[in-house]
Amino acid sequence: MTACRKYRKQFSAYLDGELPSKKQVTLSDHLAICAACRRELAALEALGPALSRLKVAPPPTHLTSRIVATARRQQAERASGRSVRFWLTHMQSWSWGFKAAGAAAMLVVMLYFGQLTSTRGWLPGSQDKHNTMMTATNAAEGLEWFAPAPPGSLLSGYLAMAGQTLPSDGTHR
Amino acid sequence: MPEHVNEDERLLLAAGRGDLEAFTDLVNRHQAWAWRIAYRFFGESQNAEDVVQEAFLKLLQAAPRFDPRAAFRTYFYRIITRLCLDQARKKHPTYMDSLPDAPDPGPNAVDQIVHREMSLAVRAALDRLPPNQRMAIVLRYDEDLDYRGIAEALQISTKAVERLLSRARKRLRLLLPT
Repeated sequence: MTACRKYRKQFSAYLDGELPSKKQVTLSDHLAICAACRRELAALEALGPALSRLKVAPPPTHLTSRIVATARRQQAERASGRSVRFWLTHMQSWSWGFKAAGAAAMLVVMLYFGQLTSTRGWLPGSQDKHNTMMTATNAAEGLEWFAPAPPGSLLSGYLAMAGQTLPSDGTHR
Repeated sequence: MPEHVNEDERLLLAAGRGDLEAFTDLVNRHQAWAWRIAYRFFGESQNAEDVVQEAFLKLLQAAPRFDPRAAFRTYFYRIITRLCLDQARKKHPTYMDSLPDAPDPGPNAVDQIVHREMSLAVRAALDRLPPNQRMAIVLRYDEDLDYRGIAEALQISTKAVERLLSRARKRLRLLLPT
């Protein structure tokens, strides 16, 4: 019986013609003397015709068109995906260029608005014009009180007695 | 292109370059046996149809990377068997009460009934096998592949194929009265 168990493990390969020739010979010798193993082998052999009784329905007529239509749609989707990926990839590789250009544009805008809002012009002569305007404003709004020797102060009285005037930078010599 | 590249490999390479006409030709040439494997494995049309479609679409996706030294049929066997096994692992097998897709077996009514009963028994027995054993049986009996061919399709050793078939037969022998 132990010998039968050993041989029965080889039945499958034997039926498929995959058993090495040496083993085939010893198995055939055993089958010649063992009726139980012959019956078992015959039962396994009968599985082939039983399995072949299963019929296969023909493939659906629409199968090819369904497959090809899906492939066509997927190809179109991949193509559109590729173009989006192309732009994303290139925008990434161009990012330093974009950043530099953005910084330059920002600088230009800042300089432009700085020029517009500045009280000091860049043009020649604009500094004198600015000073004249400031003097006129000071006089009009009584800002002489903020001068180094305001009217009525001790310094202005001293200077009046001495017949001197304070230089424009406020230093007394 | 190497000289040994046959029509299938040529069509697949063309499909990989975006030629959908070549892909259509491939579908027409191979859908019958792809269908046969999937149908035998699942025993019904819906899963078989989904898997065959998925297999061809996967083939198209992989086509740009296809190495023409590989045999097209082995390549496609791998795709379709893997998809069948994946699908079977996702879904529990359905034990069918009827086989609506089986063609008419013969003119005699008694023969038809007997045939139908036997087909049901064989189908139920096949469905009770683990998916990899069932696929090994399908490839051996329906595709007539040798152990090496089955091993290549399932990407396992020939020794593992031998074990799979031996266990599958043992189980079928118990499930099917002879």
